[in-house]
Amino acid sequence: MQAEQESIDTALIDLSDQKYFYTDQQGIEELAGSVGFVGLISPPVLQAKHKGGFRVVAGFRRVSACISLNLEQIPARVITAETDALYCFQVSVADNAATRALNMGEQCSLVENLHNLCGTKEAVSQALEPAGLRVPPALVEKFIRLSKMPDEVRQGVSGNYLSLNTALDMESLSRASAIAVAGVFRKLRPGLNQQREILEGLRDLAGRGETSIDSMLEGPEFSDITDSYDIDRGRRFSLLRSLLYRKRYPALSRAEDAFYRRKKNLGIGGDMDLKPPAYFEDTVYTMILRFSSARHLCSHAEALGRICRHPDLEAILKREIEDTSDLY
Amino acid sequence: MTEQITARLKVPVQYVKDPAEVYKTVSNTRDPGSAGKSVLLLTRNKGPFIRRCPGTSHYTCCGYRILHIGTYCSMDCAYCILQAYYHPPVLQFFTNHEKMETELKAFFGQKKTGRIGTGEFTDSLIWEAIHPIAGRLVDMFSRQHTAVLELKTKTVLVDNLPRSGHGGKTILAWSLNTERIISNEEHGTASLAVRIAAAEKCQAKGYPLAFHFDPMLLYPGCKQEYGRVADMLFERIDPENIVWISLGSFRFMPELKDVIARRFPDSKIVFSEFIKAMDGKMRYFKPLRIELYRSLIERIREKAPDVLLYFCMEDDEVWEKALGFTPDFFGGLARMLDKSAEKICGLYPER
Ligand code: SF4
Repeated sequence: MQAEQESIDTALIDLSDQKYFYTDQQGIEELAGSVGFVGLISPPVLQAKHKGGFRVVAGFRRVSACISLNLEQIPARVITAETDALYCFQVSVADNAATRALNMGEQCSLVENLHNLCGTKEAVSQALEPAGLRVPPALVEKFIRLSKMPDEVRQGVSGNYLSLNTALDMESLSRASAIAVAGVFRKLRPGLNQQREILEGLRDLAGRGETSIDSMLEGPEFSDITDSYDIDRGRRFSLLRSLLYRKRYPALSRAEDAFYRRKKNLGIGGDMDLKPPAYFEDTVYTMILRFSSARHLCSHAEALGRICRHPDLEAILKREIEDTSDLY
Repeated sequence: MTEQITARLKVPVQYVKDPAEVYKTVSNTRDPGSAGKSVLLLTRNKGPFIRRCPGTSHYTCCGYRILHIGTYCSMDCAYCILQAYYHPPVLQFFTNHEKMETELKAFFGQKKTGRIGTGEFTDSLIWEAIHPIAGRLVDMFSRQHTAVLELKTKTVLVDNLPRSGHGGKTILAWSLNTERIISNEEHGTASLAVRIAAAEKCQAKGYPLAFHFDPMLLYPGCKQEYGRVADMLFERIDPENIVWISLGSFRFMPELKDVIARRFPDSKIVFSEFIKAMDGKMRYFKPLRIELYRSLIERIREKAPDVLLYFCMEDDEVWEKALGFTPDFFGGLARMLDKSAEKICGLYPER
């Protein structure tokens, strides 16, 4: 890099010029503390502007920290006004790569900027490689798609509570729905599979055309769960999952409720279990017996005799249809 | 035949060495499901023309045979299984009819009742517009007495069918659905009233008839609407002429869900209460299927108490609860259908 190290008046640095800005601005106070203690170890990179003054190429947080300390002059490496924008970005990326890994949101903003300069995903990928950041063209394409999504979704990806793939899967949602879903993920911080499950459930429900995802999530049925901050996140997720299930599978939920109600009446002990066929599609039920001695098994045999004569077992096996006339 | 068809169609023609070139072109499009309908591949059927219906595990299948005249379809039903069955789906018509006729002659020589149809991998009658094949098949079937041909369609392209001389060995069959489903989901197909009118025309020519309520779809008010379809049917059609009526509810391979969501964004059909059934396909939760069948069966039975009703791909529990018996009681589903075909179509296979 052709850059002279100079001492620069902080008053001449235009922080509002964000041509090369794509990083998060958190932790400036902590950084100011360390600069105040040991000084600026790694000088920022500035570019001279044609009309005078400087813009930041790399080191927005460092410059902000120095200004917050009221430093009048700081050391900086200065590159000329004529240096092309792509090279400046590469300098910035290389500078960052030396200190920390860029998060997804930062990479997304960076790729968006570079794509405007380079035009193709392959060119973006090639431009980043020498600067020490490997972003294959397929990932560049994903970042470009993400950059077109609402800020709330991008923040979810940067904040690590929304996976990139789930975010892209939300592309087909309306803006309002995407924002509402990102909001739920921010509140519940579900894992990747859980994100998929929630999204698929909401999409299936909205697909029936009765209501949109955002109105559903804003309604009391859902918001009472997602906004109950006195309940821990894991429990709120379970409640949300259960609500989605009941709404997606109303008839199956009724059949399951009836089965478990009747099963309870059978008085099955802890070392026995009766399992229904998957989704009640097949007609074969499974009885599990756990035993540790012949006597124990004999006691199961007695219990089985009682269960076999129980009217609730008959009702279970008859598989009488729960009333679904209100559904269709 | 290829020249005749291309001359009739008056569309740009391209000769390809290998059908794989066409498959590749279609696969590389953004929407192969639509692209496959915009080309017509005229080619030889390198495999057998007569195949077993693929059926499915765990559910009762009817022992049907497929006469494989072509693939895919020029109409565009949102639920069409062919969109996901072929990779990619391509409209293709097989031109080596000599081979087909040789296989058919062997099929007629079997000493048992045969039921075969052209409407599984395509619609039976769409091809009439480019190369009328139904008339030739009707004629071939009329000259034997062991097998019956079923032409299953959602079109009304029946004017080319012979007025007489068919010997009752060809069954004209229509898939039926509610007006709402036809207009929202069965794009490019004939309306319900027009289908029934075409069936009535065939009835007048003495053809045996069949109807398929398949796929039945669940939505609020569906029971009343399917009942209305049955009413419309029996206002015009004499149950005595009906060889069979099948009932089947919407079921699909899980991959079809994304295809439908992408190709038919306004369709709501994949968002109902589906469970993964024993054969891996998505089906409505069983009690919902049974309820739907029961209500339609009741309506059909009011008008046509003796017509043969059967389920396409359902298990004994559904049969028992919706129809009151299982196929075993009558010697199995295949036997039930054979008997009806023998009676109404006048088959007399040597046993
Ligand atoms: S008519 Fe049959 S083959 Fe044609 S698109 Fe509809 S379902 Fe598919």
